[in-house]
Amino acid sequence: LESLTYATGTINDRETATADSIYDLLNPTPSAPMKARFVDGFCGDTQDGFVWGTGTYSSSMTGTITMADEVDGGIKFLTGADNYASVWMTFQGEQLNGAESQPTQQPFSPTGSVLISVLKYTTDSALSVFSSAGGGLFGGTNGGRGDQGGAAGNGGVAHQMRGNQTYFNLTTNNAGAYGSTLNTGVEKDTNWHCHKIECKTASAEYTLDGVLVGSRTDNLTPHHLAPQYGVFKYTVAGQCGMQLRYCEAYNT
Amino acid sequence: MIPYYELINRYDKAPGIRIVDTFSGKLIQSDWWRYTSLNGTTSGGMSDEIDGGYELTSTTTGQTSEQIATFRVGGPSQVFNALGSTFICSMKSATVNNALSVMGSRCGFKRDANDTFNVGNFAGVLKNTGNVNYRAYTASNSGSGTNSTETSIYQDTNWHVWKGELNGTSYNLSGDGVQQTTSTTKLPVLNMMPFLYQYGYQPSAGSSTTSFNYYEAWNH
Repeated sequence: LESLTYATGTINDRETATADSIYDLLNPTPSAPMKARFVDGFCGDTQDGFVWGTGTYSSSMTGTITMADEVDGGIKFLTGADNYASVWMTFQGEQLNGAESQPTQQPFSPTGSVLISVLKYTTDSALSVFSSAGGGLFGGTNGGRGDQGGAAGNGGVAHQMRGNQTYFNLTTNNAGAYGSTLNTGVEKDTNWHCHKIECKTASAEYTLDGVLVGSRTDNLTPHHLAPQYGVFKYTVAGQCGMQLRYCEAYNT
Repeated sequence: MIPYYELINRYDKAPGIRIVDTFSGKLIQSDWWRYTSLNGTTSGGMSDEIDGGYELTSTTTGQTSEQIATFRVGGPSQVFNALGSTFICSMKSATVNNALSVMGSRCGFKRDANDTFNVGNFAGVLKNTGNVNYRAYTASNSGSGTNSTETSIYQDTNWHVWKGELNGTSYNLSGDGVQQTTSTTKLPVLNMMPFLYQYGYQPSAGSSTTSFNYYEAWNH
């Protein structure tokens, strides 16, 4: 059993559970050391303040992260209408707008970790060339800042929707170098999907709704990582949005 | 979807209270854990390392530093039954730049958020400089001292996973998935709470740190 939500087999008899701990379910080999794991179902009146911090491109930019009052709505990201408006959420210390920020904890391995995200994009997918939204694992000295995740000193891997691309995309970036385009063959839309990223020793793999749709071997980051989600908008009319209702990250 | 409930519970038996913490995120969950510095210069915080979890660190030189993190102190914290409960804790400990440092690492269940172990209700695991292997460690309510039983797991600086089970007549401790000890004397009798503990003594320099990256506890 790798993850809590996506267990599909019969874990145990429904009337006579055989495992007595979450630990035993998650660790098939009890003698193996525990590895980092994080799960969030985004229920409640706000994001978990012990985990998540938020940020925007600058203090003058508008953007919101709020819990959706909808069935299965999760948490909702929405940029303002400003040019370059953006808003993101990561393991950072506090709300930081336009400031440098490093996640206080980056516990996930660049060569052996998984991020599972159930999300949907709420914006027009053709919003603009550089408008984008998505989630991934980022790290480095400024890796908590959504607009700097791939800049020098930082790196990460992310799945995303980009305005100038037809398909869902997987990007890798390290020290300012990007591998930005990957033809997954799956057209982007505004439906709920399960996005899974796996960082391996020499590749990053992208599985969409249970099907492997692509992998990259370029621009893999050496930084240890933390989950990050964000929406970004370029100089056109409209807003860019996304809803996230499940996040699980763990080291393999 | 499979109910989360069914993974570890039965419909014909109401489950007891359970907590699970993987120590992820920017801060320790302070509505669950309360950090208390007991002596010297200490700190507690999330580790910025792969699999790092939560760290308790002592940095004072020339005197003892010790600290404890306990569960919901000030609230209804002593919610685990001394006669039927289990904890699982993943822990490691290490010193930095000071081979002469004396340090101790402990976790498990404890009655009170203090540094008194020999007269309080307590059941856990112990690493102490001077010992060879980790030890099971218990104390009852009577003030008659502690029971310390050696395991077969060497006190190295690696992660180890400990499972301590109280069933009313004994305390069974497993380490890294292998049964280690069974204690039948000096067992706790009063309700307790989860705790994480570290102390260190650095004669002239350095520091000592105990890390925790998983804690689970439940009543039977």
